[in-house]
Amino acid sequence: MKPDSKFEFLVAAFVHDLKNQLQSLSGQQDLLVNELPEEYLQKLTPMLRQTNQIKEDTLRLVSVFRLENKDSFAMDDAWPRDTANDAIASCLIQFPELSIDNRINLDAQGFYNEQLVQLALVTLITNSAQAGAKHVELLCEEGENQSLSIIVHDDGPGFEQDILDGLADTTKAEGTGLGLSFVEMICQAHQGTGKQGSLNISNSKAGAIASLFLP
Amino acid sequence: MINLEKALAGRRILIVDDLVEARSSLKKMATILGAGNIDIATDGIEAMHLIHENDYDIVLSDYNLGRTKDGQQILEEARFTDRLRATSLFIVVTGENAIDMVMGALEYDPDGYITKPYTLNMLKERLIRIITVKEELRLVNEAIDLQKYDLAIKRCLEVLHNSPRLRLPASRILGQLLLRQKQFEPALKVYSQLLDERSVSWAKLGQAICIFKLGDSDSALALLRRTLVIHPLYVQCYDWIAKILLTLEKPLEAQEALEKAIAISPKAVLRQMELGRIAFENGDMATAEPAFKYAVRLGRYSCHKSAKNYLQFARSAQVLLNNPKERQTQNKASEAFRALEELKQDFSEDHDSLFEATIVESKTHLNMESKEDAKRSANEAEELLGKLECPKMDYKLQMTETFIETDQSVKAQLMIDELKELELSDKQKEMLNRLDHDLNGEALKRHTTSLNDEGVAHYERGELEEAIIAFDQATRYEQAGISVLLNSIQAKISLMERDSPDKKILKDCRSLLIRIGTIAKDDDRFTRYARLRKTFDRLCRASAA
Repeated sequence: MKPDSKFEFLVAAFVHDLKNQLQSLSGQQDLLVNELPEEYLQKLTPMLRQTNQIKEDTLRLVSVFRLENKDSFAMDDAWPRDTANDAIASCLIQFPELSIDNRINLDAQGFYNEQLVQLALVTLITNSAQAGAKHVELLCEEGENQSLSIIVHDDGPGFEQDILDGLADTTKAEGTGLGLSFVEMICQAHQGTGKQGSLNISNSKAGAIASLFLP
Repeated sequence: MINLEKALAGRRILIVDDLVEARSSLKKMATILGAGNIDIATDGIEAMHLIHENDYDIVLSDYNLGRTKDGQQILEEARFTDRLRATSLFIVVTGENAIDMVMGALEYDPDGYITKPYTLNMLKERLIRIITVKEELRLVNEAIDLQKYDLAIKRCLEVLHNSPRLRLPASRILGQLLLRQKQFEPALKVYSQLLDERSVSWAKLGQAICIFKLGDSDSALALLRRTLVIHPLYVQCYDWIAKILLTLEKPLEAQEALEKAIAISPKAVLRQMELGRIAFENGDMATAEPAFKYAVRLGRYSCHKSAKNYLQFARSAQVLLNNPKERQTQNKASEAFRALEELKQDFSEDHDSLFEATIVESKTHLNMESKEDAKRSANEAEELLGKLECPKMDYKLQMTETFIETDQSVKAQLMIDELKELELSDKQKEMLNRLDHDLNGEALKRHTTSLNDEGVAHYERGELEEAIIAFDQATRYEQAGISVLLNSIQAKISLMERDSPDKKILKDCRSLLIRIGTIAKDDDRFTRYARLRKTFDRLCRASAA
């Protein structure tokens, strides 16, 4: 649909172009990674990291805009192992030292918006890395009617009590501080069989646990 | 789970993208993943050309392809023309913003979609999932390819029973099959059961269609409108709203719904045609004209190319030719003529359309005040009509109207006389009466006057035979006035006085005198009448002697 204002039209056109350019850039980088000898790959790393960051930021920006607008997101059959793999690939570019273990069953299947859930997982893993975690595990529990709980478990210091109590969104001095709220918005955009998606956070003996419930 | 490399190795693949980097990157990625036989198309037209030439197993198409068709239209045309088997894969590559449109397609839905931006690994994962699901539904799709729809339904039900994970794709196909077989009750059940658990847009549309087909138009409309609140870009809902409103005899509201759909998705030929048709019926040529113009442009390289679009475009355009001196009007007329010319070239074997085009051409000339050109086109149409083996009544009516408009009253009268003898529908009778009235009105008066003038000119030059022919033509019409009848008698009498009395001519004169009846003595024409009557009586006596 044609946006109402020239500004919105411009933004829509700009974002569309940006996605195409990012797609092209990311495609070319993938090919380079496949074609270049090992010794040159290191030189490519900063470029890959920055492209990836721009890509994630763009998608986050568009998603927040649409989530705040209460736009509908297309839901479809989706496979959490694939979604987690995509999130891990993106996070490893930013945090190559981080050890991430995808322990989600290959056959696990849900009904969700893949791009949104991937962004949520990237956000949670990024939070873990920035909090000082060295290892992150991704798990999935399947419920009735294809409902899922995707769990991100790290070995970091865990969530601060204010955050667990819902008194604060972040304790980070830098950044938007929107990480957990963003993930929560994503979960809530998912509905099914009379239930709404949700984000549950807790601490284990060894680190933080974030669980995304997708009905 | 399938082995992607093996699955791609033997397959023929088509990649469609208008952006050079995107298509070369997708081709390289597909090659890395194991594909070997890849063709490339840069737009929808080239894609359709290749699809008609070759049998593809997989088509990977971008959604936005610039000015021509989009990915969805390629899919529709490929499946509509049976150039893409149900067992073949069609995957749409798109940004998130077009997903609603891609996923909402109820009849021609893609097998999967890949959202931008994606990486090599994401492409790989997605292809594995899509091909795996397709393989699991192979038996269903094979039955569809063989057009054994009941068998396909049976197999779909088996899949649903045995593999709950395939519920979404299997329900989607099952719903389509049941709709195709007009089994609306079971189709409604499939959609409703799915919607109890999953909010999927295509199931809402399917549900609404079933409810409408089962006779509850109001509930169907309400459901479609609710769906649009959640999915405002879901154009197919507008299409169905328009269809339902038409059955409820609300053509203006139907037009409004289609205009909204066009604002979202202007590239669909069938939608533009439908908007044009409804707006034309509604007498809204300002909407009909651009809709048909789009339909012509979009249909030019598609399976939906039709002579009717060209005709309707020219018909709606010629109504808008209000001021022939204005540049805008002149441009519009040129567009209409170009469309008609293209029709004549591209549909040269379709004689019906050629006739209709020539009629529209005549009317367009007339609106541009080129009477001679209008008359020439009318005569061309007459020739074409003569060549039609079994011309429709409507064509004869159109021809009659064009004859009247181009001042060819004799031909029009002949046509009317012929039509009066034929069996016509009520609507056609109504038109015939209108034409008859028109012809017998101003047009005929003009014509008899001109024939009379011609007769007088011949008479004054002493060309009595020619004068008689002209007056005879003029007096064939009931509307010929007393002066014309008197002129005719005078010419005939003068001829007999010059040569000799003739019984047949005298008989004609008697008929004319009877038509005149009595003329009052104070009438200006009485003296002339009395004189002619006297001479007539004398000639009668001479003839009898």
